[in-house]
Amino acid sequence: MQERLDYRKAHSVEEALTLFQDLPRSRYMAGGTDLLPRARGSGQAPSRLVDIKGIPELSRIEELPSGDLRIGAAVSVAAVAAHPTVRQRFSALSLCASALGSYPLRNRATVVGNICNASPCADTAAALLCLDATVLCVGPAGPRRIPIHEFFVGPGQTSLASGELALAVEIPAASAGGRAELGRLSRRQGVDIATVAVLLSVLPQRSPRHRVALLSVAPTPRRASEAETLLDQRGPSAANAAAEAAMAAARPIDDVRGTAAYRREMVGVLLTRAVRALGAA
Amino acid sequence: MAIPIRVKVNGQVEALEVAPDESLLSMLRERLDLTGAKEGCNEGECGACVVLLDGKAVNACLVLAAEADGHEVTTIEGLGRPGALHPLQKAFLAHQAVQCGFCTPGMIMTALSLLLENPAPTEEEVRTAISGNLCRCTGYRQILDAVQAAAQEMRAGAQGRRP
Amino acid sequence: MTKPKSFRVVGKPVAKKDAPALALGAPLFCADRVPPRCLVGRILGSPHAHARIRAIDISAAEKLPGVHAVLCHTNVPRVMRTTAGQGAPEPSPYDFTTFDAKVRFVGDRVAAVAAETAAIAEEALRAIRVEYEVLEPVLDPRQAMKSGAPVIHDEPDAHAVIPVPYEPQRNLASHVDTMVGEPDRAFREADIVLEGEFVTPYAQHTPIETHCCLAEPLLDGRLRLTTSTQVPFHARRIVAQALELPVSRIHVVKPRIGGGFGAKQEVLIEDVAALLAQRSGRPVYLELSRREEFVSSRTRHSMVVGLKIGAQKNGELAAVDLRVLSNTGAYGSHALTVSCNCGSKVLPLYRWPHIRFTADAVYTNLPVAGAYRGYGATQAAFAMESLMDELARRLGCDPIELRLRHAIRKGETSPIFRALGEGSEGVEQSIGSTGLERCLKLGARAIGWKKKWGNARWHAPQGALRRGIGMCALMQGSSIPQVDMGGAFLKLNEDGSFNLLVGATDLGTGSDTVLAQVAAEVLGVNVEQIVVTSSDTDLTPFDVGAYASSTTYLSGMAVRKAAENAAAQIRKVAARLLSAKASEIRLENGSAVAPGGKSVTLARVACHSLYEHDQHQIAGFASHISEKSPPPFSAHFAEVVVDTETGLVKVEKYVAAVDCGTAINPQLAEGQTEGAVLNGISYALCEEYLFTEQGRMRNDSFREYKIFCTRDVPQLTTILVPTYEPTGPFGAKSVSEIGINGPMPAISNAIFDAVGVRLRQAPFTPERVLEALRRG
Repeated sequence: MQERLDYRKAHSVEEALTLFQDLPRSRYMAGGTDLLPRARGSGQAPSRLVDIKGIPELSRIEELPSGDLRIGAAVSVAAVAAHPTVRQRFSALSLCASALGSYPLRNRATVVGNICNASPCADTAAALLCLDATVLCVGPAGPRRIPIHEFFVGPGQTSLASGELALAVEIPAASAGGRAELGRLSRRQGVDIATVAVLLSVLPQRSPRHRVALLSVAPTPRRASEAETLLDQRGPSAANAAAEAAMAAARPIDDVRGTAAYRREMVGVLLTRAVRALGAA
Repeated sequence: MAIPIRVKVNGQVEALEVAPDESLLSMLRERLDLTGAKEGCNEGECGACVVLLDGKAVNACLVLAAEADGHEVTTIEGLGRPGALHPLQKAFLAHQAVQCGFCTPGMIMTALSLLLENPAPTEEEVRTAISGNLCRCTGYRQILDAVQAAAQEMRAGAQGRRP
Repeated sequence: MTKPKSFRVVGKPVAKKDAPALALGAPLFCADRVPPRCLVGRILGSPHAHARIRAIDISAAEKLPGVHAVLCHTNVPRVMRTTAGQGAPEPSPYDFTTFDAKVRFVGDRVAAVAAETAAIAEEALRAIRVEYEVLEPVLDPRQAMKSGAPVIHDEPDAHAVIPVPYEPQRNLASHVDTMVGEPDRAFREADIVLEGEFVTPYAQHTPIETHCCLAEPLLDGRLRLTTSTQVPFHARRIVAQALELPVSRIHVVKPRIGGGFGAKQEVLIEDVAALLAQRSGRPVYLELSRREEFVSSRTRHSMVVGLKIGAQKNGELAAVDLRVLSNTGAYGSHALTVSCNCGSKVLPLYRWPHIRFTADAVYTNLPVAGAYRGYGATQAAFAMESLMDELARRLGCDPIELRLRHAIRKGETSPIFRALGEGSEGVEQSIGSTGLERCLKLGARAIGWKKKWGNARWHAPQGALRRGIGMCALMQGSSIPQVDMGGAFLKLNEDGSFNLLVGATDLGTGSDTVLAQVAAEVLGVNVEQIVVTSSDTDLTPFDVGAYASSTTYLSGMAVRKAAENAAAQIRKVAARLLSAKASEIRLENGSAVAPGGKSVTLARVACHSLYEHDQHQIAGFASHISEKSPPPFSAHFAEVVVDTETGLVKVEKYVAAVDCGTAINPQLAEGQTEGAVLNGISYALCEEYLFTEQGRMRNDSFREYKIFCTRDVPQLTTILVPTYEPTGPFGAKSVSEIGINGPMPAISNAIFDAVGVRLRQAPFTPERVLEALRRG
């Protein structure tokens, strides 16, 4: 990391926005678990880190009167994974949050940070996509709500405007009560980025009821909507057709973790298995 | 540009001026001479630098010193003393879970964080908790055994009896 | 030596001497001992796999405030040498100098700096201007051997220092061939001939502590190097050679070290740290980053092992032909000796009447290979134990039976022992101890072999999952015979304690404790009474260091002899105090005991000898060199589940039964075995360097190069099978390396048992397994 880096801790959202605007190449920092090693490793280190963990309202998980769940941007992945409401009502998120990184890392990393990094393999993104989450953000132009399916733009790119701060992610009450199955392949059995992962979630109150999210097989985490439709229409018997559709939805590449061909094929295998597992449950 | 911080380390409040890019690991090792936490990768992948931040295991290489302002840090040095070892340290000795010992402080701190949260973990839970702490010497079996033995000892201690 | 009836300290799970301090996080490692205001060293690595440095300008770097030394090929003397920490003259070629005008792999040294902070040092590296003439790289060893291939070592002064084939103009770093009997005829006459080519990847030791060294100029003009090394005495010699100083000007201290596994049998950065300290007149701390550790330290030789074996229908072995093509990377460190080990630690296991062994180690523009636990035996055992499995299936016999029938037995020799040394002839030896038969039987029982092998019900598919079971047999050595030497010195103090000074190097293995146990056993005291000082070139006797599975066996024998020497002196003094015959006095419980039971404490003996009568220091000294390298033997068993849809191989159960002679400290021997086994499983299933077409490593971090973690550990059973090796201390042989050789063949054999395909290229990643299943 270059020495000229500046670190500021914001105590309010307004302060965070101001601190960000002060310098070019500022970055908001929540857990910092991705940001810090990347800043050390690269030539284009940020000039200022604006730490948002001192902003009280971002450090809470709240159940809103509507039944929606709001997860503040400074809430750790571990806290989300272990939260009773998340575990009971939004198990897909608990499942994905538990799969991310190591235990010390989960104590530090945040769910909102995970999605803001917009890695194609962001574990919690799979759950948030399936749960129809919304990202709450605020920027120089004021607050706005970005539906999660519009949030990811490309590898490392989100639809957040420059200076815009993601405050929280909200999961609608209507996404509660589902079941989920995560199929995840990695080089070793723990603490490894997914070579490919498929999350299947069945949400009784939503349409489509079946939700399929894919990781590490496209420039962004993504849903496989044709597969979902097939499963909604024909149930578990559509497993193979849904697998085909999900494979077709994948846009994988070759990298150090696996080839595109393998990844695409595994999308099918993992989805078929997930359908079987949930069907049997 | 130095940042003034106050951080409680192993029970003692330290007032320091840290650099903005300084990691908590560097601060502990270089400013406070607490060299128990080790640097093995500097990117959160090996676990050799794990310390407790407000009672929870974190990779000290992934925390800025400035972020520790107002918080409480526990390092391996805060755990036991010669002749008065912590149950985890004792169990590591009894199970020969220390080979080269470079990963040991991080391993023990991660295990401690787990046992504070979950005093009676299953083997699977122990394996999951310390899966981010790499050891190339042992094959982990002796370490897993040691953590289970320490958990038992600590539960017994908490109930005021010896097993 | 004959076997004593029982031991008091040997064979007991004595706590590791350094463990309490390590568990407390005490400042015991090199990085923990960096003094205030110490300069930070950094190395500039080459961005090119193969290039000539046309020009290098360090002036801007030198002018930066806070920079105290900048080194490159224009200001450092050229002394051709090797980085391999081996006995002198080394069997590795002299193809390396501290800085050269040519770079031979991505990450090769270009320059180094010492500065007041890491940030300044890094800025200084950026300020160094280098003009490269980029040359065509050669990455494949087969291409490298072709005529017209780019010559990697075209410098005229690269040479071998022992009389061995060395042809750098052909990119050949070493060549070995040896023949016993008439293999060609034997193959022609064999009923069954099996052949295969086995490919093993580049892999790394990944000690959790990277290479690091603190160099400090001393007031008397000497240099002290506190360094994470397995070879402190070789480090002293090689640094002296590089700096053109007498060894007396260098003091090497080994603190606790955070794992080595062979990577630190290399004098890799001590030369640079020493030069930086010498030039700056300041202490300098130099540590490799994890990325540098991957790219610029040392790796396992990637190999293509061609193996052919012949047998008769009745199961008799006819002949073996082992052909090794070893990729040594940009320098020939351990090139020859690792190749030799492929033969010498694998071929003698079975009684082959006819043998051919050839090995070429070839330069490429890839990272440098070196010593790595197993040392060639790992790669060759994969080939041998895979083909033995095939042979058993061809013969329709149980693979355990095949091994039992053909394995070398006690009292037998192998022509390979004499034929294959380390660049010269080897040393004839007969097997003094083997527990292989018991390893095979106990291991088989522990894994439930009888219930599982050939049992269709046990193998019944469960969905996409298939179960399989596999095994292998192994041998290694214990020290390099007639080469390795260890010294030990022991003196008695007034309280009946002893100082044990050994050159032997504890790299986390627990050898300080093991050696103390040996001394304590001889002297009749507790381990606590033995204060160990090891690996300090100013204080301790010489020892070659921790490699070739030598410490317990070889240095342990030096300790035993030194202790016996001291014991004789103790008996003499005690004899006078007890009015008894020295020869009749026993040492036990901290006392010298006369036949009638009358005794005197060692404290009393010490005080008497130091203060009262015929005053002298009771002290024992001994050196030891072994005439033999007695092999430890081992049998490994793996039970796997293969997912035929994802290709994922999961090792569910693993049993390693090992005969290491007497296990001086059984817990430590188990720890060595389990560590080696998990390292081997990780290597078999997961670990592999990936390169770009330009020779750059693509996965140079723990994020992308995964070593197995707790979640990957199978149900692991270690069985120590005691034997008594007459030439070892209290019957001990070695245990540290052998365990890493088993997982690759045992797992491959288990995969075959599960799904009927042979994996001959490691690691057995899901994609490779799936591809193999498709090929059928």
